[in-house]
Amino acid sequence: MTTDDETRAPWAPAAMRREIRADQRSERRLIGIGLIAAVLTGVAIVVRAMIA
Amino acid sequence: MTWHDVLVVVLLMAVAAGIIPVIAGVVQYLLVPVHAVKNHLGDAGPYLPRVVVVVPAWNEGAVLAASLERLMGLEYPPDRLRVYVVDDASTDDTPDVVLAKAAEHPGRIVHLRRAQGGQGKAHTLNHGIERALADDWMEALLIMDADVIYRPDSLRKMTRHLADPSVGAVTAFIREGSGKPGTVSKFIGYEYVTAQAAARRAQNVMGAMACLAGGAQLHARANLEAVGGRIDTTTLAEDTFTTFLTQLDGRHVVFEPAAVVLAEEPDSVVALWKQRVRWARGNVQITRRFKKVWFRRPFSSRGAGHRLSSLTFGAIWFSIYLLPVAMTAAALGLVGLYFVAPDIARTTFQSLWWVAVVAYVFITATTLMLDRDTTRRSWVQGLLFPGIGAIVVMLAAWIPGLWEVRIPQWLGVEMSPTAIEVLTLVFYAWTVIAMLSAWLVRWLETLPGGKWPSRFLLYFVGFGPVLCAITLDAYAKQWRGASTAWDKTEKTGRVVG
Repeated sequence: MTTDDETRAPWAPAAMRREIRADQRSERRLIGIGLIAAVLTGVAIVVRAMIA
Repeated sequence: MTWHDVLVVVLLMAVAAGIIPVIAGVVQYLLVPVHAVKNHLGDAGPYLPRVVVVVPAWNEGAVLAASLERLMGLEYPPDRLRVYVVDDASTDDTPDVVLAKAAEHPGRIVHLRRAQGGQGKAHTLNHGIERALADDWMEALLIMDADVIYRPDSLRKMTRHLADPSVGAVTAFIREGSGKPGTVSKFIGYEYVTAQAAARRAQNVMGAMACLAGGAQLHARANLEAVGGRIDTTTLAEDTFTTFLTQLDGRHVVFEPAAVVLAEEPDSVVALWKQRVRWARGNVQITRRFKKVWFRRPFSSRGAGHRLSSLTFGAIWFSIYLLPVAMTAAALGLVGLYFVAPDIARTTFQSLWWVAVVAYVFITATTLMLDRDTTRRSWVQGLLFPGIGAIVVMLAAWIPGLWEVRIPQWLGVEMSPTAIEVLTLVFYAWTVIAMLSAWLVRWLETLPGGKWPSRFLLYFVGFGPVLCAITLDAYAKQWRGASTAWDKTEKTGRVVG
């Protein structure tokens, strides 16, 4: 544990490492977004098939 | 094969040219979810270099005080941050604003004044960069615009990527942040999510970045020195030029979506047109200047140290660059087929716009979920981005006979054969009609009382076709050799962060 790690500043190394991990987790929502968008596109195609 | 058959094949190829940009757009969006697992955060680390921020300012008195105050409030070690405001011989109160802020924050804000101004942003930046490189204190340099507001955590979220020495530069997500955005600003807000939050994530995945945002370019000192220690002054896209040089020199460029920077964007079509013609002309210059980069083997270019030559990146770049050509080719192809082979024309029209519907649903759904803050402000503009007219055409392709037969039947009327023919031709030629109507949108806005008709027409024509028309105008201006004098976009300080 360095002195910097013990500080409460948001730029302390430990805080920055936590922030990086949090942003990595946040990026995982992209998989869900892609899946939802794909499902909505699929629904549009099915609706078209039913109407046409 | 008869001449008729040859003509049909040629026309079909013209229509196919119109599908390429749509497919390229979908491919780019398919890469967005990949960013969940393929991003640079794994190689980022706690890294806080000594940063010099260079702020070019020409008559920015209205916006500078807020920007400088926000910079001083960044969650970044104060002893590792200096701001150089390069005053480009301003004639307003810019010097007074900067000097007052410099007195409030001694040693942290420096006022640099150019005796002779008006040469453009790149010259102004170079004045500050030269000063920053003159001593060893600076380890990284951030180029920003005078009006942008950095979120408190944004700078350190950018510098963390420089912990990896292979990274030469980092850019942030510029979000439209006007306090009371009008229609045009809202469209731009949505466009920035597609062009940055989505497209630049995809470019992170591809390993090839098209452009460091002009208002948020963080360079490692080594990178800045390697690209010549100055910004190119011969093009209108100095940010794109530096982005390419960085990658050609073997360094990576990273987009950090969590580093959010708020910017004020134009709220009139006239101002938008002026800004975007400059950008589009810059891209024409870049495309020519780096002509030896495109589609070169090996396409992955691992050996060359960059991936600008990859097929995917090249296809996406040229899909945007040649969009007006593709849209025109598609319309000409469909209208030609209508007269030569009507049955083939109908099937082709449905296929082309069927792909467009799929792309529209997938891209719009993804974009609306990517950035909630923008979606809250701009969801209507997002849904209507291609224009009400294009949505009508998409429905025509999606549900055959909808406008000519089904709806008239529900209304108890019947469309005459002539009316059906005219409507069909309008549908086939819509991509060109929408593009040309963009000039009408701009002209209406300049008339007394013309703002609201212009806005209505903008929703009908769509923001996408307006951007396409601007690109076409940029080609024309570049071809005519129009003046390349730098034309500043006026900012009023509407950003609320």
